[in-house]
Amino acid sequence: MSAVTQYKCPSCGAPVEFDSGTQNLKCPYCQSEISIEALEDAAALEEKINSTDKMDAWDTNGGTEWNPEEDGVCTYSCHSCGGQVMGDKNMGASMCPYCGNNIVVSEKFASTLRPDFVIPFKLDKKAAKEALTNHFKGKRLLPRLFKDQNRIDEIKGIYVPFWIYDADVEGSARFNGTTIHSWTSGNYRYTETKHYDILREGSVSFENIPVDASEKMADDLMDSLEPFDMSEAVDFKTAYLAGYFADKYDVSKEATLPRINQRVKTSTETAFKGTVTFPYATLTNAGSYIELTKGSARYALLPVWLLNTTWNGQKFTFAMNGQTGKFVGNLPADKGLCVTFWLTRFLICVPAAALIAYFIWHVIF
Amino acid sequence: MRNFNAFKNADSVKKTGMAKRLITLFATLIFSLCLVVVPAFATQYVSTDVYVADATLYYQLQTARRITNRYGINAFLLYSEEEKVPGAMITEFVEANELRDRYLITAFSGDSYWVDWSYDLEGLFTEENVEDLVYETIEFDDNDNVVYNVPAMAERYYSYLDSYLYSSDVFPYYDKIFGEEANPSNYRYVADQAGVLTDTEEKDLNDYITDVREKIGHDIVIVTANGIDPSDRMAFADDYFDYNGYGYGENKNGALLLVNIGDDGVYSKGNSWISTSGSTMSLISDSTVQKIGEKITPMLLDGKYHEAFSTYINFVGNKPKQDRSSELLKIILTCVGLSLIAAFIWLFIELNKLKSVADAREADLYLKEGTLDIRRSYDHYVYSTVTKTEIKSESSGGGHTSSSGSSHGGGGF
Repeated sequence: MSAVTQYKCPSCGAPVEFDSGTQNLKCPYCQSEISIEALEDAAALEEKINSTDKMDAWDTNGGTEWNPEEDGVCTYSCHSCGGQVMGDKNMGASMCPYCGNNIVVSEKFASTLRPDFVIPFKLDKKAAKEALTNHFKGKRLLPRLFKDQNRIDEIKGIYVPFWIYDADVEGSARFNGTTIHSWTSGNYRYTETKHYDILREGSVSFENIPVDASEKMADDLMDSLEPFDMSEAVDFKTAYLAGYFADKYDVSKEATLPRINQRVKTSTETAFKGTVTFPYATLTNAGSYIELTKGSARYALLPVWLLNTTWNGQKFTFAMNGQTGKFVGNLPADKGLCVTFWLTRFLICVPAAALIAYFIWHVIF
Repeated sequence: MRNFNAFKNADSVKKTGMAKRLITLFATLIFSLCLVVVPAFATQYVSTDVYVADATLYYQLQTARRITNRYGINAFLLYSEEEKVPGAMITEFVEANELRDRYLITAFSGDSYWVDWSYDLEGLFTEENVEDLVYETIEFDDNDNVVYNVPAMAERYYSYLDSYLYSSDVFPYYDKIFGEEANPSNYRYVADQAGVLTDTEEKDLNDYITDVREKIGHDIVIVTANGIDPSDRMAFADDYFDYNGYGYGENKNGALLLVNIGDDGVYSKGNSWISTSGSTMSLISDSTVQKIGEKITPMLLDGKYHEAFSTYINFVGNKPKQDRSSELLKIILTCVGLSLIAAFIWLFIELNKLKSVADAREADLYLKEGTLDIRRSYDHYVYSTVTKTEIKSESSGGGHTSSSGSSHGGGGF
């Protein structure tokens, strides 16, 4: 009796046959037995996971338009680097936060979205300077000149535009689990590894996932500043912009979707995996299928202190979360310091390692 | 002790010619006598002529030493080129060296010979068997005249004597061989109860062991047997070692290899055991026992017993040397390796501190609490794989106490 669909043995891949004695499907080559239910479920799940996630329910509308007159904002563009910032009408001439040159005031205002909310700056420039100094502490491989020659004055506070996403997700996540059992019989040691096909299917919701909406702001830098505490968000008022720049959004929602989708998929898998309570010896992810049932985004301005510095011909950018104070930025390593560091640590380890080695070879063997 | 001051006298330069010559002659005589007499107090087994000043052939033969060590019997071979009465030679020799017991002396001169032994060895040596010894020692030319070649004679003399003492004929004379504390364990390290070795092979192994054990300070024993149950191997080996009084030094150091052969004369795996005692317990560890097993089991299975046992003796004999140098090397390499790795890990930790920027790959922080709802789940068993590995051996691991109360180490294979 052959089925319409040819089922394959999960262990060796050969076609399985129905065994009337056990009422299970049996593989004639490796003798593995599996219930019909398990094999059908596995086949169906495999198909599902291999299909593309359905993430088209994102609502790419939303956000209200500015009313420049009412709101009193202007766009300023920089003469030398072309960077554009939004600012209070009354701000006047200032330094470009991107390249440090003077900004030319421009009254031309391009149509752009009005933020839905903003998280105001909680920490001032002084706090940012302190955070920068702290950032250098305890980094033994940092070139000494870097610390000394730092242009600490170059700190600018910017409101960075972000898309803030909420999502409801339906997902099916698949896992492979194993249990291991050994025993001794006669002169032999047997080890049996049982393999399991595991499914967790359901729904979960996300809220306030931020994605930076400014082309000029490095995505990884902005990601590293997370999280922002959304409970302190307030409805947007132009007054908050006073004294700070606000970058304008130039990354559309559509463009940010791939990043969001990836993050949502990974976290859905993790969340579902958390519901596998059985203590498997190994538990690995085997793919997932997710479907967005509801997805919406809001536009927000989040506070960031930004610093650019150049050292040894390389450009370094540091950022501090203007609300939480989290300070990030990759630092260079001094090659000479690396070598001496390694050498000294090696020498320190030698006596201890000698003792351990002596112990291993003299006592254990 | 004779006085040596005579020829230390530098004043001879001052004397006149005649006086000078007299003193030189006198000095030579004294010197020769010293040469003769002093070494005689050191053990010297063969003397070509004890009484003439210019005889200077002394042989310290390994076999002769072995006989003394093994059996506690001092066997001497005397030869005089000048015709002397052999009996008189012996008497003088005994008096001069103040020999009292446990000696056998054979003297040759011209056409005659004489053999004498101490009273306590009566029965071990008889007129018949010493005649055999003598005829084994000497060589005749075509005219039936004796050909005297002292080195060759000494070789033959001691070899024959060794074989004789070692052979089973001698067993009734245990007490003569070692006095009241006679014990085959004092000289017999190979017990071929299963009969898989020829007499020559057995003796060869025994000689080898006798030489080696002094150098390393451990006894090496080899026992072959039939009909021992594999589960009894350990007890049998331990007991054999203890009850036969094996063990070097006050710690009774030693390693005994027991090989149980099937009644059909064929060896099969899992029938060997090495029992260790004293400081040999730490010298031969469990892993060493397995190494020995791996090396000699193919030889045993092939019936190459002599080869297997020689390898075993070799292994134990070389162990201290091997061990020390390879152990030191291992320690150094491990130390360097560990330090290298540790230093790199330290470096990477420190380098990582410099990095703080990375793309976010997940949104775990943004999961809305309470919204996780699993509506369908299953954990289906799909298939199994089973692996099978052979357990190498049942090593005892650590020590155990035998029925005689002493503790042993070792393992089986």
